[in-house]
Amino acid sequence: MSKFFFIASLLFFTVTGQAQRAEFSASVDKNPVSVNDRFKLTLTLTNGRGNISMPDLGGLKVIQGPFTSSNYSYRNGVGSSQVSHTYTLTAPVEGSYTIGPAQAHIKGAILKSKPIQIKATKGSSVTTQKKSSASGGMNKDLFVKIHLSNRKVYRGEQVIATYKLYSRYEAVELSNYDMPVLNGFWSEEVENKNTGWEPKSEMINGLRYKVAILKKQVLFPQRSGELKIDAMELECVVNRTFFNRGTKLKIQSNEAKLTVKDLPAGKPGGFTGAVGTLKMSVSADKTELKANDAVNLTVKISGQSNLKLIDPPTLEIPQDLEIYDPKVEDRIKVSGAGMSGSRTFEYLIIPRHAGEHRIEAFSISYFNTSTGKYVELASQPITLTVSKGDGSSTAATFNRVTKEEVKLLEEDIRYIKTDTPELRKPNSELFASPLYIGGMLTPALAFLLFLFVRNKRSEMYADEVGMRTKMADKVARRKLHAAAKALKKNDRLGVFAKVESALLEFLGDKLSIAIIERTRENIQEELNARSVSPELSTRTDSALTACQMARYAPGSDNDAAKMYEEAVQLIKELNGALRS
Amino acid sequence: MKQLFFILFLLPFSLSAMNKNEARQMVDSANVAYGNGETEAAAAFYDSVLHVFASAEVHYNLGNCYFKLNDLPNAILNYERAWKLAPGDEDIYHNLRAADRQVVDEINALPMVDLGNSWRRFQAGEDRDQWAYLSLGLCLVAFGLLSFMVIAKRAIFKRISFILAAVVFVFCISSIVFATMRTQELKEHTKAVIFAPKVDIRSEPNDNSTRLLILHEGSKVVIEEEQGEWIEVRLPNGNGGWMRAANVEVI
Repeated sequence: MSKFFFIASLLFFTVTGQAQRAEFSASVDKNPVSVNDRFKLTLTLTNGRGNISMPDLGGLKVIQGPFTSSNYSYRNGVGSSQVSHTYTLTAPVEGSYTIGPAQAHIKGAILKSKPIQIKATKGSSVTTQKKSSASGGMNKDLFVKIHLSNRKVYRGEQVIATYKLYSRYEAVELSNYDMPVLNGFWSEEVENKNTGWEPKSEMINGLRYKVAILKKQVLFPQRSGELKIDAMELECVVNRTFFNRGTKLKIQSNEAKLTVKDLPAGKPGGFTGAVGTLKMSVSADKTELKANDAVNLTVKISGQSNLKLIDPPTLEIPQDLEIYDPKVEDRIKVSGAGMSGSRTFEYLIIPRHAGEHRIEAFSISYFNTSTGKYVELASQPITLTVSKGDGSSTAATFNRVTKEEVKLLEEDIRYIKTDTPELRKPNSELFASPLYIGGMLTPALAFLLFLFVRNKRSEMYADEVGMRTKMADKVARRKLHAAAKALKKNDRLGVFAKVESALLEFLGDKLSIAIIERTRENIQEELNARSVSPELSTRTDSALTACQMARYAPGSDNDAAKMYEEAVQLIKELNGALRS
Repeated sequence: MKQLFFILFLLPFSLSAMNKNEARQMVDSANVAYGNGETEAAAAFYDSVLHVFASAEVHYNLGNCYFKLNDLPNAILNYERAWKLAPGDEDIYHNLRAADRQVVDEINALPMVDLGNSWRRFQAGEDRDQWAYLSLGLCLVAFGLLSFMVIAKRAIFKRISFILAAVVFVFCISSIVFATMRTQELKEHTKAVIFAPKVDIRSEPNDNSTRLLILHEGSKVVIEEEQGEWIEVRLPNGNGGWMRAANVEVI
């Protein structure tokens, strides 16, 4: 709030024409006036030199004057002059008077002031003035007005609202004020460089007012219908000087109303709400390039509109081109004339593959307020000719492909299974069925059977060997019995043959030696291996030798009876030795 | 029209004994009918096959027919039966889920996890008897190895064949376990689908007791107990109560 705090008394400057054009005006210092009250009529000629003629006063009496004053100033390199004639007038009777146009003759031209209506009332005008100021209503000396540049607009069309303070006091001090709340508008503030009095005063009802612009806004109505800007309220202190505490005044502005028309039907595609006048230019910085090189596509939208609301146009870019989000650059000026300037979208496009790539034409639309029609701005299609990039650059750049998930558009069940179905009777599982149990038991039983048979067989085999050793005694005894028979018959050779056979058979069975391997050496070896005493094995050997000698060397004189005895003895002893 | 005639002609025939070849022909013609959009005819064909045989594929196809005919409980029942016969099958899983989503009742249960499907598939096996066959085969191999161990003369062969036999035995026993689980699963009839459009779940098995829940068609329940016309059911989220047995169809 203090931003707007300004002390008008510091801005005590005389009204000077900034422009070098001559101007002529007439003003009164009071209106209405009371009968017989004195008031001043001032005719002011700015920046001109000439004769000022007295206007038709329409019955008002001149008490004094004219007083002439002139004023020259030179400021910021601009010189200005002012000449004023002041008359003191009075109204003799109640009623309304018209001061006719005054004329100023300057070089070859006549300037005319506007006529002034003066109302003369009974009683003191000063008191009524005080009353009105105390009630906080419209004050003739100090008031605020909201000006709208246009009162009938389309939705989205810009309107400039100006909040002006009019004052006839020299010194005005704003102490507090409330800006109206804006409903249904999107607003953009206009930067106000001049915070003091405007260089030019304004004439209202023949009274000269100093004017200050409190605020300027560009408004964009957002809905259609009657829109209202509420009254602005402010408190100020006037005429405060070092010696005077001044008067506190509370003033209220008018309410500004405007009619907003809806945009007509038939919005084209790509219309995003831009209203005003626009132009679009599209350019690519190059159209022939190598793969993986970047190209800048610039879309510039300029004109007078709510530019800040313009969205980037959607470009239809072929798959092979990579496009990045556009860089937005605004050059938007908000001034008393509204919002204008340009908004630039800069797209960075990188073709990843060689070939001809066409960027399709695109368009933006806006509503033209002056013609009341929609306008579509279309671009030209752009063709990029991309040649193969050199291998190095391809390798160097990271080939980024923006992958997109395949979208499931709508869910549905899957199709039936069309392959030949597996048909089974229900509850016909193999598991735990008799067949299954049989199948499980069969290998187990077969294994057990196998083990059993094998066991039996090895037992039998083991028995065979055992039997032989067991039977060896018997066999030997039988053979010896035959030898005894031969001895009785006195068959000497027969005795030896039987004895040898008995011994060999006995030893072969006992020591488990095959028939063909039953040699003296083998027998000797086996006997030694079974730790038979050397004495016994020597005797066995000699007995066998003796038998062989007797059979094959007829000259030997071995006694058959003795041999028989020895063999019986040997078998007996060997039987004992081999058992253990 | 032709298909319809076909059904009228075939149906009485199909209700009597049907052999596998006839059933396959029926399934084939049903598939054609389904493809032509004659969903009702196809459903009748599949249904008649299922009177005699159990088949995951046919249940699935029948489920599809019912789904297209907007018979949600029947569709879910058939998908569930198909899932029971061939757990882990992607298509069945997908369609069952799609059907489940159409059910009015939203019961917060542990979802069937996609990840679990491969394990389910493995556990279920390609064939209903896969584990039984496998256990038989492994048993045979194990005993063969043991026999070899007995025969073998060299110690190293004996040892190797013993170890191998032990390993094979372990596998054999695990496949027996799987087969047991699978058979139990197939023989279990505790899950049921609600067929009535709206069912009251009551606190006691009579019509005058407090109404605990309201379920709608297509919701699945587990049957805990039976008592005459009434069954005690439990929902996957733990809630439960009594309802009339006529309102459900056991999967």
